[in-house]
This record gives sequence, C-alpha cells and structure tokens, in this order.
Amino acid sequence: MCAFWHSPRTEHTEASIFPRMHPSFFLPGRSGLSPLERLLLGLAALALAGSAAVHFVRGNPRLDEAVDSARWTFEIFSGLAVAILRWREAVFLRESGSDAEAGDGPCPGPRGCFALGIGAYAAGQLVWLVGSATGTLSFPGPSDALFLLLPPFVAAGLFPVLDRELRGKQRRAVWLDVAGLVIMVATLAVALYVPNQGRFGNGTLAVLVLYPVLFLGLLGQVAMTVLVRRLRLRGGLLAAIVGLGLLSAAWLQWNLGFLKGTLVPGGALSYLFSFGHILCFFGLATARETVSGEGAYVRWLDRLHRLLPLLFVLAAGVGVAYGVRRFEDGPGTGGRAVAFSLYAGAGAMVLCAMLRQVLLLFEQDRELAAEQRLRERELYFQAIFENTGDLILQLRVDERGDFRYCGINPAGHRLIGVDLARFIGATPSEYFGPVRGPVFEANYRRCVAEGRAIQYELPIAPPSGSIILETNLVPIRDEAGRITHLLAVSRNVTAQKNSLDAAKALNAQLEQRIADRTSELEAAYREMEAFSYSVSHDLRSPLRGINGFCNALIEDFGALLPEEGRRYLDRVRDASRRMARIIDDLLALSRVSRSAVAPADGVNLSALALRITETLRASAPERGAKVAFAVSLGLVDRCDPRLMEHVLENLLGNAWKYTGRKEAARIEFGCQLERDETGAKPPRRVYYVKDDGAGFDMAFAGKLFQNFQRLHSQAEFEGTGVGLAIVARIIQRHGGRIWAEGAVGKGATFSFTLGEEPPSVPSAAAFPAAPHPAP
Amino acid sequence: MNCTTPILLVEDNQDDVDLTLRAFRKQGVANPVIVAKDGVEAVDYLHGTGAQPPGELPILVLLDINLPKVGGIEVLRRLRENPRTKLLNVVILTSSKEEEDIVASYSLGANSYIRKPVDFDQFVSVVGHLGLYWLLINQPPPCPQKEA
Repeated sequence: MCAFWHSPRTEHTEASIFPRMHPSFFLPGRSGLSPLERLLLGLAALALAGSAAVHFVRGNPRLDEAVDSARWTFEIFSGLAVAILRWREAVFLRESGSDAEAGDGPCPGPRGCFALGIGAYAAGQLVWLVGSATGTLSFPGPSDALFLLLPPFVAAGLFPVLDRELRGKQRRAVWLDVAGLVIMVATLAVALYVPNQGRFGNGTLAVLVLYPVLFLGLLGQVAMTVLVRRLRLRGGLLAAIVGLGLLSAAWLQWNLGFLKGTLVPGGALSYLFSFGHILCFFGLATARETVSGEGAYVRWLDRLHRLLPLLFVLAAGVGVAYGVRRFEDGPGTGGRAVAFSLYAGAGAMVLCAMLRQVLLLFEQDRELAAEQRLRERELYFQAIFENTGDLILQLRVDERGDFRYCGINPAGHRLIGVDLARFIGATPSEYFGPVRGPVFEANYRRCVAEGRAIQYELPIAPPSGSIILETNLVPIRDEAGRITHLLAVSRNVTAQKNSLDAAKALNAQLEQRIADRTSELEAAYREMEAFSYSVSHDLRSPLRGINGFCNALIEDFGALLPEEGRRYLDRVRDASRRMARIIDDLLALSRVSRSAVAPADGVNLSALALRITETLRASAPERGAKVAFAVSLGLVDRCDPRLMEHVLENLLGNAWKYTGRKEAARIEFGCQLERDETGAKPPRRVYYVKDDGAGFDMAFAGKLFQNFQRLHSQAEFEGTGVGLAIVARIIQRHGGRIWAEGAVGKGATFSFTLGEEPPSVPSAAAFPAAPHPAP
Repeated sequence: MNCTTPILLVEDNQDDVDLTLRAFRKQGVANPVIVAKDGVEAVDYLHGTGAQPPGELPILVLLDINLPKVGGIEVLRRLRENPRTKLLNVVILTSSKEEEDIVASYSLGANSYIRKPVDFDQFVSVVGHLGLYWLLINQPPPCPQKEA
C-alpha cells in the first residue's frame, strides 16, 4: 500500500468459512413476554410444584400418573396457545407491513410451522390420554405418529432460516453437517435400543429409534443454524434449544424404559418431560433471530463450526471402539448388531465429514482464486492510483453523515499539497477551514443526496497558486446499498480553462471586428447607393443638356456651320448617348447586385427565350429573316424570372449582335445534362446560348465577364462591356456558374448552370466599382 | 381644346427647362408653361402663401424628383394632401429609373412616371406624346373651385 493511501480494511480480521449473513425476518416478533404468557408460565411452574408435592406426599402410582398426564397436557396446550398467538402476531406484523418492503417483510411461515408442530404434539397427547384412560393404548399407535410430527414441522419452519443465503457447495456442506449429526444420533439410538430389543419386533424398534433420531436431528439442525447464521443464544432461542435437548433426552430415556419395562410415573423422567415441554414450546414460540456481529462469541462459533468434522471423527472413533467391545460380547447378546450399526454409523459420519471438507476445500480454492484476482486488480488499480496525473481522493461517510478524508494519491498530494498527518481523518471543514470546507462538503452532500456520480468544477487555492479542478465524484456503496465512501477524481483544468477563456475573448474580439467591418461595409454600401443615385440624376442631366443643345445648335444654326462642324456636333451627340448608355448599364449592374433574388419554381426559360428572340427579330425585320433561332422547348427551372430574363436578353442579344456581320446566322438556346465523373453528385443541367458569329479568342475568355472589358472595338460591335458582368453576377447570385467557349470567327457558346454552388455571400467585390472611363 | 390652361413645370435645371420648353414648342404645345425652380416654389404657387394667393390651377404638373429645398416626392405628397390639388394630373418627369422612386411616386398617386431620355430627339418625341395624351386625349379632373 502506498504511503498516501489509507484504505479502511475490511472487518473480517479472522477469515470465516462463510461470508457474513444479513439479518432476516424469518423469526420476527417482540422480545419479552406478554402478561398472558407470563401467567401461563407461572401456572406451569405452579403445576410443577403442585405435582411434585403430590408425588412426595402421597406416593400413589395411579394418582401420580394422572397428575403427570394432567400437567403435561396443560404444559403442551399452553405452549400451543402461545405459539398460535405469536404466529398471529407475526401474520399481523407482515400484513401491517410496518417498515419492511414488500417481499422482504417479516415472514410468519416459521411460526406457523411451529404452531402446527406443537399442535400435532398436543393432538398426540390427547390421543395418548384417551388411550390410557380407556385402556386402548397401542404401541406404536396414532399418538406416536402425532408426537413424531413435531420435529419435521419445526425443521421445516427453521429450514429457510438456515438455507436462505447459502449457495452451491456451501449449502451442500451445511446440510452434510446436519446429516452427520442425524447419523450420529441415529447410531447412538440404535446402539442404545438394539441390545434391549427383547420381545419387541423390528417395527416397534424402528418407531422407537425415530424419536431420538427426529428430535436430536432437529437439535442438530438448530445448532447448525446457530453456527452458520451466528445467532445470539438468548431468550426464546436458548430456551428452545435447551428444551429440545431435554425433550430429546426424555424421549430417549422413556423409550429405553419402555423397552426395559422400567417406566415409573411421577419419577424424574416425568419432570424432564415437563421442563422439555415448557422450555421447548415457549422457547420456539418466542424465539427471535438476532444475528451476532462481532466479538469472541462469533469467533468461537466459527471455530466450532470449523471443528465439526473433528466431532464426527471423534464420535465415529468412540462408536467403533464401543462397537468392538460389544462385538466381543459374542452372539446372543445383540452385541454384534450393535457393533455393526455402530460401524455403519461411524463410517457414514466419517464419510459426511470428508465430503464436507472436500466441498469446502473446493470452495476455498474458488475463494482463493477470486482473492488472487482481487489482489491482482488491486495491484493494477494501485498502479493507476499512484501514477495517474489526476488527483484521487477518498472520503468516508460516517453514520452521522459527516465526511472524512481517508486517502489521497501522490498526484493529488503534489497538486494540492496537503499535510497528510492532519488531512487523513479530517472533515473538510476541519482541514480547509470554515470558509472553504463547507463548499467542498456541499458537493459531497449533493452526491450522497442524488445517489449518483456528479461532476463539478471548483477553483481551489493550494500553496502553489490558484488552480481549477474538474471533479468527478462517485458514491461507493456497501452490500446493503448504503453509501459508505466517496471517490473524487479531479483533474487540473486550469490551462484548458485559461485557453478556453482566451479563445472566448479572441472570439468576442473577432465578432466585434466582424461587426465593425460589417458596419463599415454597410456604410460603404449606402455610400455606393447614394453614388448610383446621383450618377443616375446628376450625370444624365448635363448629358441631356449637351445632347439637346447640340441638337438645337444644328437645328437653329446648322446653316451657318460648315459641314464638318455639323459632323462634330453629331459626334458630340453620339458620345453623350454612349455615355448615357454606360451610366444606365452601370446602374443596372448595381441594381442586380443590390436586389434580392426571388426564385420561383417552374419558370419557363424556353418561353422567355422565345419572347426575346421575337423582340430581336422585330427590331430588325430584314435581318431577322436571315437568322435561324433554335430554342429547345420545355426548359423549366427554379430561378428569379425577372433576373433570368435579363440574362437571356443579354446572352441572346450578344449572340444577335455578334452575328450581325454574317449573311445568315444560327443562334441556339438549349440545355445539356452533365454527369459528375465521380458520381457523387446528381447530374446537373447546363444551359447554353450558342452562336456562329464573330466569336472570341479563348486567351481573353477570363476578361469576358469583367466590367468594361470588351474584346471588340466600338467600331466593330457596339457595347459598354457591362452586359456580361451583369449576367455573371445574376448567375452567381443564383448559385450557378457561367463560362464561355469560342474561337475567333467560329462563334461563341455561353454556358451556365443554376443553383449548383451555394449562393455566395455578397462581398465588397460584388459591388460595382466607381466607373472608370473604359480604356 | 384647352390651350390657355397653364402647365406647371417643376424643374431646377435651367438646361432642362429650356430643352423642355423647346420640345413643347417643337411639338406645338401652346399652353403657357409656368416654371417652378424648386419644390417650395411649386407648392407656393399651387397652394398660395400668406402674402400671395394661389395661382391658376394647371392642367398638368410635370414634376422632377431631385429638387432643391423640397424634393419632388414630398411635393407630390403635399399636393395630394390638399383638397385643392388632390386630383391634379401630376406626371413625374425625371432622370431616375430607381425602383424606389417609381414605387414612391405611384404610391403617392402620381398619374404617370416618365424617364427623361438623354437623346434630344427621343425627348422631343416623349414630350410630344405627353402633350398629345395629357392635353388632348385625357379628360382632366373637374376644377375643385367650380364645384365648391
């Protein structure tokens, strides 16, 4: 054991054959005697005194016999009355259920058996009385059968008291002991009776032998019960044992006298019976089961129990020696029969003793193995205990519910640095003072109250500085389920705690920073909105002025200007128009970025595309006739119809625009299913707008979707370079992707998906940059 | 038809005023045009001030949104609150294409919302349509003074 570990040792200082038994409720009842019982006892004593007086004074055999019979009858029936009353009490106790739980309450069974047994005995007494009065008494007769019923009933009643908690080999050993005792008394009885058999037949002899066998066998069972269950020999139990012994002796002697024909009424034997009746019946009726805990008495009981086989062997030895002597008496004296029965009895007893020892040896082997395993586990746990980095504390919960420290491991000692001499055996308040102690005790109390393991965190302040302990407190129960100890396993979580706090602080800081950035972003966004608004108004007004007054100039003073001057004015007007378009596109782009996407189910993209192609065709009818539109029908998807119209307008418009230089052109809108190679994702729909127009150089494909980026000169194709940026933004806000493929002079294909990637959060990059003049 | 009832043009930009007048002229709109340079002037003209009685009710108000002092939307609200001008035909004529402006204008009971095109030719054609519709085709509301 480690120096820090002060484990309370188990109370079994001296190993016993059997484990400790729990007190049971098989023989419940009150101690002491009721007034009625006292009265009956008093009357029985009076009867004893009275009949003794009659016996000494008169010396009349007939009167003696009558007095004996009357006294016996009274004793037996008063015993029966007491037994029945006590039985009723036990039944009442059981039914009122006092404090016992259902199924484990006081058991009236044994008392009922006792009452039945005594009742049978009383019936036997009645039959015997009637028989002797009318001279019809026969032997063996019904009275013997009734008398002999007493021991089996009592044995049956006592059976559960002994048998209740025995298991396996233990149980067999105990009952072998009982059998040994029975064999011993049977051998004794046979050895006593056989030589005196005389004129009586074997049947009579068997009945006579049954008396001592049953009565003494019962005594053996009671003795075994006392030994095994460590019952206190006091009160009713002691009286019952003594009474049973007296009764057995009386019957043994009576039967012997019967065989020899030497029975005399009013003799000592009749008082032996009386004392036997009174002690045995009153004792059985009032016997209580008191289990003895500690002390010399129990040690003696255990020793006696262990030495029982020796008794058998001794008895067998005595029996054999006696048998040998009787055998030498020669034939005719019955000596041989006695000798043989003694040999047989001795052999049986030795066999019982040997069997019992063998069984117990096996049992002990098992226990030793279990103990060995236990020791190994203990070593194992001790290693854990001594080498773990966690603090392990053990507390004892005493009867008053106070907690006392009874162990601490080295890690714990290092962690909180206690003064061991003072710590062990101290309560938390005693050791840690009236301020901190109760804090610990409150947790211990909570654990006991809840009856289960609890967890808590507690800052403590050992000499080495403040630390935080995370503790698991586990209740440890004894066999009866009472919490006798608490085990506290604590871990120093100061570092974790600190880093957690730091992480939390960092997180909070981060959140704050995000909030700051968000508000900055929001401010920038508002600024941008104000900017777009003013662009919309303030830039367009001067443009209108420029355009309008150029026009006025041409109209009103065109005649005064040279041709070239008028052309310049036209170019000023063109420039103002283009600038107005750029402004409009920019505003559109900003609107797309700002407005929420409102997706709807079942938007018919084919119908949208068809409408747009019609508009395009109508815008230039003679060109429209030469352009072949191929729109796949029945394309329905989930998207924002307004924004999607913008996309298709742009893409189809682009296709229209960039095929403008061709005689005949073909523009397609359709959809393909594209399978994912890994098979992890379902196939996705890829929409495309394909033309066979001017196309573009794939080297510049990356520039297509950027603001103001154009791959063609204004002279070739008109445009501001914003349209595709808007399209890309709309697709992006639908969670889709857009890309383009093409080659110079071979047309272009714009493909896009809807809702493929999760919609990206609007970022600063999503807002349009301040308009720079296109390079 | 009615060629003497004035048109109220609320516009702060002199260029736009001139261009609008020129467009009216080109389209042959003969009604006198009263110009208000800001929102306050417009409201003062229509509702009058302590010192000055309200002017003649115009057949049509052309209202810009971006105005000094009191914005066009606010002017519209005040016109609609006043029983005298509640039923007046008000056409928003502005550069803005902002959805908010359009929604606000119609919510406050604007009769029409027109965006001024930059190109003067287009502008002239818009003004022509405007005059044709609001001065000739459309039946103006009865004058509240006459009813009273």
